[in-house]
Amino acid sequence: MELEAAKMLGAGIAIGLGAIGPGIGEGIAASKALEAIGRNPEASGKIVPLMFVSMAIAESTAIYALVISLIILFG
Amino acid sequence: MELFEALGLNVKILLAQLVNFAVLLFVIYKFGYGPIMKVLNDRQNKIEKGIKDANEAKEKLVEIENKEKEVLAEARREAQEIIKKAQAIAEESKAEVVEITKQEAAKIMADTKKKIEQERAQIMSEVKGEISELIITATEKIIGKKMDAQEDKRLVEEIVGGIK
Amino acid sequence: MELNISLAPDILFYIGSLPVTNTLIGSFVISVVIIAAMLLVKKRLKKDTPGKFQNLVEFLMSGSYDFVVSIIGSEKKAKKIFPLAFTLFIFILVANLATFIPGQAAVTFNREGESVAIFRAVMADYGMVFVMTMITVILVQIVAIAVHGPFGYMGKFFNFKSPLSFFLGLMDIVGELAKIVSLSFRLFGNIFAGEVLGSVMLFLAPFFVPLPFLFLGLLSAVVQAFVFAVLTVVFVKLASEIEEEELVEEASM
Repeated sequence: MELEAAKMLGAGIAIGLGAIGPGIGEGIAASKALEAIGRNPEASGKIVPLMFVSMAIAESTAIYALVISLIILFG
Repeated sequence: MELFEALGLNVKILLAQLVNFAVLLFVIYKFGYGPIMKVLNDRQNKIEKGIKDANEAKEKLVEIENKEKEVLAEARREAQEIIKKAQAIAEESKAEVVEITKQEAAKIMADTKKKIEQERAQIMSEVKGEISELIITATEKIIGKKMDAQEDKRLVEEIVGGIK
Repeated sequence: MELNISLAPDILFYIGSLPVTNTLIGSFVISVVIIAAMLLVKKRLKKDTPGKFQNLVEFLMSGSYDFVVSIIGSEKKAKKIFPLAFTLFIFILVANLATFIPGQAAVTFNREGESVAIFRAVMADYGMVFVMTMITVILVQIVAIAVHGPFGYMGKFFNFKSPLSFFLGLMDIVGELAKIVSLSFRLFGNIFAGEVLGSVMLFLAPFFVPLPFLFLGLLSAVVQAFVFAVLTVVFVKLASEIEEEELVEEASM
């Protein structure tokens, strides 16, 4: 296998695997937040911003994967 | 670092971006955030003051209303008292007037009675005199002779007294 | 039509030795627009009867101010951090939304034989994002030092009480560095990925198919601007808080 092809593969695998965890995590966060809103609709104004912030933090892992794949591709 | 090159990081561009952002921050702080926040705060204070004033005015109004009611009640009570007093006075004076009137009426009645009595007595005496004259004349005519004046009178009086 | 994806912004021309990239121009234009809007508001600022535009700006400002207060928990701190957070939010928001103005991709610039797009999403330039992240991170460090004192702050990272706490201290350093990476790459990655996705979709199927992705991009444009500003506030809040353990330590000393 050529080095270039291996890099491409590695980058794809890195971001693909790295996106699984945050995907699941964000899904859980959203589902719990929606559950909470369904139970207490008045609190949606407080829940939604907090949900976005926690989702953004959960996203960090995917972002590390993105950085790694960028490093593999371009570094 | 090749990644930095690939990302297009360049110290000069970074500096330019930093300056750009700093200017933006300064302008927003100076012309946006400061004045707008001041206006918002002022307005909030104004609204709060307005609400406070309104509440105070309401309280004052209630107070004034209460006072008004009090004054009104006082006035009514006083009026009632005055009326009562006036009534009492009127009652009293009425009784007095009635009394006076009664007295006067009684007096007038007594006077009238007296006058009537007097008049009656007068009339009686007049009538007596006339009647006695008449009788004397009649008797003279009947008897035909003139009796002694003294005897005559005595006789007439006796008769008249019998009539009476 | 060819698919042209570049990680770095394209250099349009040079002023002296300063390479002027398309995102640099973009950020200038957006700054000028925001500054003009602010000056307009300032000039026509009315005390009691705000116009429509002033109402909008006031609504944005008071709403975000209340939100910052609710996150950071104290008016005093909120007053200090709010201008930066608000500027970040507005700048990122306007920059992200500006990419949805249609027709930008068609405007190109011919430089040395190759066509270069004049407009590019400003936040898809890692340099700009990096600058903002560095401002946030350095501010956080300054706040932490101001609150804990220089030695207290260093003690958080170099702790010789036990091997475990030493290791945890080193991990804290990694955590601080990771903050830079995650904060900057979150914004950059989202916007860049959105741009790439949009152009790929446009390349594959120009009509109707890109629309859902545009909506998704619109959502992420707003959310990312919000998240960047909120995370700045959250980091500052975390740095400015004195932990209970430390209070106990200070009391026992």
